[in-house]
Amino acid sequence: MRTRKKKEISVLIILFIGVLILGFFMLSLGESNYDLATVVKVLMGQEIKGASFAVMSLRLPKLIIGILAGIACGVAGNTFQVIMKNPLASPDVMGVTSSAGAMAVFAILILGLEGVAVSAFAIAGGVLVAVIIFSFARGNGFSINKAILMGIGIQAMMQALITFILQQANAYDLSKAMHWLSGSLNSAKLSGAGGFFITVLILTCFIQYRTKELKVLSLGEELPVTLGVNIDRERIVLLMASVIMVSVATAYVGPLASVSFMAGHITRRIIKTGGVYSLQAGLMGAIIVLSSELIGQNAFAIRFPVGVITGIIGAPYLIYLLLSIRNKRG
Amino acid sequence: MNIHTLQAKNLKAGYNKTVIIDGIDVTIPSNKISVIIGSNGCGKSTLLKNFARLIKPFDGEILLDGAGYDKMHSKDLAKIIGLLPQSPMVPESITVYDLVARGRYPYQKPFSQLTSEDQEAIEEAMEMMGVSKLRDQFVEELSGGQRQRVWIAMALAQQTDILFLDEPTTFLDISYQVQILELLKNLNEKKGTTIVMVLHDINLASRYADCLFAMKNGELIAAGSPEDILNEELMLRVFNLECILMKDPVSGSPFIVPKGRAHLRPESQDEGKKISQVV
Repeated sequence: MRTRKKKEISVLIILFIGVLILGFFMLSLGESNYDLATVVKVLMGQEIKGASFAVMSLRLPKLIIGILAGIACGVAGNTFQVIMKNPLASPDVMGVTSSAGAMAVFAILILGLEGVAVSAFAIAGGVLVAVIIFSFARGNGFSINKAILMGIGIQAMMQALITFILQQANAYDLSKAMHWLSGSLNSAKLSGAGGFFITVLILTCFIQYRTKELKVLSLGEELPVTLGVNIDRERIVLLMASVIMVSVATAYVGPLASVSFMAGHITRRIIKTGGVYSLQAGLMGAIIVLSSELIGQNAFAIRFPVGVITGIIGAPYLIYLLLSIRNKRG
Repeated sequence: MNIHTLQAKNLKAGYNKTVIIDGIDVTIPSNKISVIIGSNGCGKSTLLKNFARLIKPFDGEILLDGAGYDKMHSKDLAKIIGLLPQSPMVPESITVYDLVARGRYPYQKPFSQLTSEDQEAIEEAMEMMGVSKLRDQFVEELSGGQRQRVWIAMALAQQTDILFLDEPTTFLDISYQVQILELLKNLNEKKGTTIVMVLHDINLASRYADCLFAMKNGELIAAGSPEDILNEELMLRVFNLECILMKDPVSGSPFIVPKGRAHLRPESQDEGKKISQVV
């Protein structure tokens, strides 16, 4: 009992330290690299020529938006997977992320909106797809497999819709197109990110507050009812909280591939105490985003946006996951 | 242990508008073991699910101490009525202790840790089901019989006065079947828990049940002690099966031996002819 609790907390601390270390590298590496002392000085408010602008105006926004997006995707994906008891059931695999992205790009490029309105469109897109998937998957008793397959179909459709909108809007700007096709931190700005921060903070706290319900919901369709959980209400509320969080993240960074799918699953594989671990999954999401960003910006001759890297990592992880599911059954 | 009365009045129920149970009255005997028997699709599980509030009746009502379920808060109800479903889902890499601890949900408040009361209930439940030594093992690594005991321990940790079990022995070999039923009998005797379960093995049902409910086509054909109601005629009516009634050499309870044609010995040839006419 006590050792398991210790494990959950020590993983939380290690992940937090991991985010700090990656955060330092995010601020340190780039066109010109700065050492720890310089970075700290700049963060403390000291004016250093060149460094101040690069760190405070370019790199810090990327870092903060990246952390927020990672936490949002990680917590939301983990909640989806726990409720639906299937690692494939995550907002990105099921098309919620792409749909939020499609609505956001529609709001920005076609309607010319910005700020909160874009987030509102993204949320509307995410919620709409979630409602469609879940109401169609209901039919003869709720089928999670049906919901996942339908989500995969919708995901492809929404990705096509994004491409379509980009063409209609004549978005010849490659970086803008990449942002909406795969997600990137390149246009991250801190102005207007307050809403994003508050959304992630409130919804993460809310989901953490419902940990006991999530634990009971993972026992199948029948036991939650007899244990006294209002299963329909609880599922809807928790899924909606997740959808909103991931949609707002998508409005800021575009549809990030595979982060919400990997974060929770990796976390549960590491901790292995049969728990829910929303906070750990959130930090894991942040770690995936930050390390992918660092790889994309520094490892190759060309710079790749973060979503391209998460997508590339996600594919083999999906294959590994499918193989491990088959081995377990066999 | 509180005494609760649980009854279904003129209950109509089913799935997706298909009526499976069409108006039955059942009163669950308090502090006794009741077993529901009947052929596949006769509505036993439907009845159980209505009592366990997994599905809502189309018509009629289920009354706990005279009041409908919707009059009570669902967490309070969860302290009185528990269920072990037929195939509950084991969360990924969960230990025995953690799974049993989930039975304490109705007693817990958000953010609070397990209280000493919770811990006692968990220890007692594991002790009763003989799984205390397995506490740190992963549930997915246990044998079928062990796993079933863990699930029952989880339901016991819920400390309900009434416990429903949907075919608790179905996927187990015979030694585990007997073991599980012995444990349930022990629970009933020690704590007075009202137990209601669906069983397929008539002879084990006869041995362990204080009260049998025999169902067919959504109707209650007979209810009463095995001694009173279990006989050749009932088997014919409920299962459409010719049987010989004997006495269980161990418990003295009614014991059913199905006839069938393939194995009839010469002295029962006449019986065999009768069966072929029936079939």
